[in-house]
Amino acid sequence: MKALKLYTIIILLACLNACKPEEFGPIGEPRVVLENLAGTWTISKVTQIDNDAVKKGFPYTSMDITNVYPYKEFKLTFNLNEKGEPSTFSTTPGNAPKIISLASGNWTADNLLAPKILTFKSGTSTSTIEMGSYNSFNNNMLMLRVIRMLNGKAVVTYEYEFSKN
Amino acid sequence: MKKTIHTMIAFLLLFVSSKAFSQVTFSPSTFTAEDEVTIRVDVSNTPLAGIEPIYLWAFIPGGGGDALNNGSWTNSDEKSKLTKVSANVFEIKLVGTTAFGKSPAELKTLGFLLKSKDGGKQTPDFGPFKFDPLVFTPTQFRIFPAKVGPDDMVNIFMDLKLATDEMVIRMTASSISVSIYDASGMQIGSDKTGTVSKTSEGFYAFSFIPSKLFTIPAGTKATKVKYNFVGTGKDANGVNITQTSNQGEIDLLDFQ
Repeated sequence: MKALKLYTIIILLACLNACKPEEFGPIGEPRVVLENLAGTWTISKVTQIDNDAVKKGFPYTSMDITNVYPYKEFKLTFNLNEKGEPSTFSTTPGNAPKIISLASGNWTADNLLAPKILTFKSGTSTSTIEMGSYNSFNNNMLMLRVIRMLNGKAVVTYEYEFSKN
Repeated sequence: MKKTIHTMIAFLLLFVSSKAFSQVTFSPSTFTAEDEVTIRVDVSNTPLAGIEPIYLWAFIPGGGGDALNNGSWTNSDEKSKLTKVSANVFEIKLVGTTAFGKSPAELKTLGFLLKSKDGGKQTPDFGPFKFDPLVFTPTQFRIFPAKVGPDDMVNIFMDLKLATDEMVIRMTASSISVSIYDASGMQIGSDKTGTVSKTSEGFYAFSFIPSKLFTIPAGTKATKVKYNFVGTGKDANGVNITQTSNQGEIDLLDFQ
């Protein structure tokens, strides 16, 4: 019995001794999203999502519509000013449906460090688009999303995948 | 002369029906059979103008049954009484499954009319209005996504084996005829023809953006698309004939 107690104490001490703060490696430099955004992008894929079908668990929820119209002709250029902040933009739709109805103007981001909503302005006209995952920048890709709402609910989503020129 | 009179009558009927349609609004604008929807009706241009109180007589179009709280035709149930909003404008709340005592799968469309309590005066029938489906049911025509606006990509699919006409079931589709309409039911421009793709045996598809396929004049609101698949079939003697499918319709919604 004494031996059992002794072994239990030894095991407990060993366990306690094993509890040491773990050292994590450096997480790297913070991603500078706006710098990644700057440049000219061309659409490579368009996916249409039926949000209502997703919500209800229906069998048909998304569809690749890239080749229905010449979406791949659509180009979007983001420019930054000398401070690295959003400045001007331009679109070249070619024969593609207009993802952003404005040809050129100024653009802004809702958050300069972690932008989610990008707003395009030309005169009194405004157009907004939502950013997808920042991880796509690792592959020189940009994910933008347009969500169509009805009665305050997302009904249809378009996901635009761009490749950097 | 006879032709002119017929044309005038047709236009008059179209005008009357479009006016009747425009009197009804739903909030929310789309709803399932389990959602509470507020039906608001302006009875100004109906025999009920100036009459109070007003009662709802709801039914499932096509003989699917009447609402449980309709009461009898000559003595409406007080539960179906509408609330007055303003002069000649009334509203009532309704949940499809509760109103009809049926499951969502049994409720595809809603129809109704408004009446005086004794049934002496009534409006024309309104509807059929579609319930948003809660369960997926394969049908001859499938639209993806289910809800679209004039600027959305509309994908129409046809599954021939689910058609009810034997001639349509056996047809080979090659094209589609598409037309677009404004809120008053007037056609915008002329019909457009497109080439359909065969996705698998008996399945055909066509995709388009209404505002790109049609020139919609500024200030005009497109609210409906109608379509027919066209192809070839065989008559009783085995001779090739042009075969047109039954007509499908798509409501174009106002997205934000």
